[in-house]
Amino acid sequence: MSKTVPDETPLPIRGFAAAALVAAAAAAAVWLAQASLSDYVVTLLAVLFLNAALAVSLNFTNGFTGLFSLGHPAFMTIGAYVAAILTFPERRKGTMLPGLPEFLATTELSLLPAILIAGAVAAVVALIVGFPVLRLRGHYLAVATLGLIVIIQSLATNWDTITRGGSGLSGIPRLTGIWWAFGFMLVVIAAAWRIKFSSLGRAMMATRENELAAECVGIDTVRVRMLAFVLGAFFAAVAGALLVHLISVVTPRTYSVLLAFNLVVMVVIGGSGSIIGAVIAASAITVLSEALRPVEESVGLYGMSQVIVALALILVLYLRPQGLFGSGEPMIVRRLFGGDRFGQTP
Amino acid sequence: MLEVRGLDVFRGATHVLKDVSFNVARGELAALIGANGAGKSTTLLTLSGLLRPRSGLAVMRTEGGEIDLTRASAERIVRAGLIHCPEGRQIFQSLTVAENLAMGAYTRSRREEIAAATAEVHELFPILKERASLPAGSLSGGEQMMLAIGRALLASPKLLLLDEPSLGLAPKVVETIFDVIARLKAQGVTILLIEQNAVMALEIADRAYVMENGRIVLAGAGRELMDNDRVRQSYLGVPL
Amino acid sequence: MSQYLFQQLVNGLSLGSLYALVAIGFSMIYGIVRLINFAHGDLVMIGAFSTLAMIAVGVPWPLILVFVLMIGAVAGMLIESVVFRPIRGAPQVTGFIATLAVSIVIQNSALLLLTGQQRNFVFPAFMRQRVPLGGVSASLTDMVIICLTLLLIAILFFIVYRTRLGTAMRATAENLMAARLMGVSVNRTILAAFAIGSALAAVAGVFWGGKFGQIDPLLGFVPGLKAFVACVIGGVGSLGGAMLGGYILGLAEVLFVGLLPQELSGYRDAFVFLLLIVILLVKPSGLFVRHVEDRA
Ligand SMILES: Nc1ncnc2c1ncn2[C@@H]1O[C@H](COP(=O)(O)OP(=O)(O)OP(=O)(O)O)[C@@H](O)[C@H]1O
Ligand SMILES: [Mg+2]
Repeated sequence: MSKTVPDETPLPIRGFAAAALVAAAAAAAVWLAQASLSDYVVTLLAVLFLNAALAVSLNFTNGFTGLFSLGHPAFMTIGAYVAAILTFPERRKGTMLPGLPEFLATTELSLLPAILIAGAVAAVVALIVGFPVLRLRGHYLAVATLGLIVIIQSLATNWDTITRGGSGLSGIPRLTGIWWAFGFMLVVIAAAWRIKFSSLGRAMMATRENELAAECVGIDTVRVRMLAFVLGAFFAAVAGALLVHLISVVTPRTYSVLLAFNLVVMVVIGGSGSIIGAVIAASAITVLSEALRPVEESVGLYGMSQVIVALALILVLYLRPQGLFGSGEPMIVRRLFGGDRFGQTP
Repeated sequence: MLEVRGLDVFRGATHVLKDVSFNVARGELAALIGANGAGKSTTLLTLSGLLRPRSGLAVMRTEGGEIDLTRASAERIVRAGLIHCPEGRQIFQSLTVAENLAMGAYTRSRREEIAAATAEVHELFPILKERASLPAGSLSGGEQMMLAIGRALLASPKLLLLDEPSLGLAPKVVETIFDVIARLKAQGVTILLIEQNAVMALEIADRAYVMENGRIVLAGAGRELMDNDRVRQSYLGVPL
Repeated sequence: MSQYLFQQLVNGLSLGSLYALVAIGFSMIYGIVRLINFAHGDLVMIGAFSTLAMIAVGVPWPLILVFVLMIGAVAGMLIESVVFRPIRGAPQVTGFIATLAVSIVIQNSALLLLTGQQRNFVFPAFMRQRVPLGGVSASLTDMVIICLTLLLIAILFFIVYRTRLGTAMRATAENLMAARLMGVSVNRTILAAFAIGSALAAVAGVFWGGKFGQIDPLLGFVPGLKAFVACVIGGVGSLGGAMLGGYILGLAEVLFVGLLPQELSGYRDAFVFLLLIVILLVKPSGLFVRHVEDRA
């Protein structure tokens, strides 16, 4: 029944219909969950959706393009502060952030424009930083992006007039809910899917596999890497912005290197480049560390779950370095939504 | 001295050596010739323990005993006296010439012996003495080849594997190299030589093997093979 | 020279000594296995905390230094043989992720054992005196750090450039296959590189504690990253470069804090990475001594 899908139409009609159906079913499930489960579980679900979105967005660089970036927390921090300052109620800005410049002190945006601006700011930063940094191979890039986290954190700590320093911003309006998180996750997944199975996606993977060969067939690898990095940064910033509007505080340490590590774990365990893999791994790890939390608290062994996650990663590297799905997608999902076997490791 | 039976070697998914068998007797110079990609270098890498065969047998017998080359570590194989002078010279460019020679003697510990062996190599290739304290990367191609051979000699080989020692060298240098090979043979070193330059190799070889697509397809005395039609056509460039 | 300038110079050199010690080991390990070892900085922490433990049980200082060297070496060898050896030959990124994971394991195990609280770390009282040096004076702690570092670096260079082991290490770093054909045991050579590099990092931990007076389980992160920056400044894979890079970084950092207005001193770490990015921008490859990045 399934003919090979032409490359030019990554999401054929059947794909759209299937996608709409699955999204609707998932939305129904979310609605049910929201109606019947405790606030705690609903919030946890929202966090899970955001983590899945983050893991998928890290795939633009670390999965599709083979750029090992650890910069997500930096972009998330940027997004969080920018959006928080924009949505903060005007009347409380005077006490919270007395030093704010006039045009910021008098703005109060709603969530959607705020997160879009947050994403755009991070994208511009990524563009500027990417220019020198993306020329680097492998681990140079990794360390440079870690350096970016340090830079952004120290900006957030020291630029008191805008950020309120180390104590951070609290009382951020709780504008995000499970629906925002869910919707955002769908957007990221759809974007990643479309890109992966488009000519841009193929260019990304060609860049990953063999840069020289990619350039020989006319791919502008510099542009491709930059696109991947900027896209990842944009989504990371939006996710960072959404999350602080859920937990209503942000400090310079809200998004740390540890988070970068955990996102990498999700991508690696899911299979670098696999969208569904990243979603599954992100969900599993979020649930697992949440489940371990009471255990940690009862025995007083804080940090234990993190040790377990890291050891699990090392085990995966030994036993199944390609992760759950390699860089491909599970077959049923491809059947449903379209997309060729491209990127599937043999 | 060297016995190889039914060797099968894979590189990645490629079946490179297929049921390869041959012998090299003590004191003998054996040549292994064949087209590019036939599997000659792969054979040597397997003998020196850098590649592991999927099946088959490879043993070296010396006065010191018998060593199973398919199992022993590369380090033990070197200590047993099987020395591999690899394709493309592979000298340590950032180390000095003297340090390269010292690396050749890595498995030996008696200082006087090493000094004597170094002196011998210096006599064989005087240029190496002149350039002793220069980085090896600054040597010319021919000098680098001499260094690679000198380095192998410092390990005091009982069985010396030479992988295309004449590759890319000027005729004069090739002559020097072949002179040295003849001298080593006269000294009683057993040698397995891989050569593109089939004429020269067959001339000095006691015994020769021809490899095609990972199989030994012909074997015989060096002179004998030179008269073989198939060899003449494929490797000596003589039309039928 | 004014006392203030001299003070800054000594301060920069002693900070640079710390970076140099960490960077040299980092560079050594990178040179031989082409692996950015993320867990390298955590050995600084391990060195600092083992010192604290030894002070508590009353081990005399000279012995502490010896033991810390040994502890660092053993820890480095353990990490290499348990985690890195099984994945040797895997793609670079795999190795990098594994070192990241090791770092997380070490840090969080330390948090489990020691909690996240800051602990006081004190050198013996006499170390806090000042040494007069013709008109100016410097703290004894800084002087000791500078001198001991130079001594350790001298020993290291002797090992690397004058001994059989060192020659084998350099040979293996350059051409693994050829080294094996010489009969070099690659496992043992790599183990030695990890042992030596890690020992130096652990000693840097002692100095770190003594210089800053407080330690915590996460203190290794920043020196680990800065070691990388030092390596980039001096040329990745070169030991002399790593050492120079360490000193340059230490001096630059002190200069930054000393010369710029007080409000900016909080940006000290940011400055270091900005420097990294600028170097990469201006001379993206020119600073690297070794150009051949990939080894088959
Ligand atoms: N690292 C490798 N991985 C997979 N296959 C390899 C590898 N190295 C060599 N091969 C394959 O093994 C076969 C034999 O190669 P080998 O180097 O032994 O040939 P050779 O006879 O020495 O050729 P030449 O005369 O060119 O040196 C070739 O087909 C080659 O493509
Ligand atoms: Mg060959």
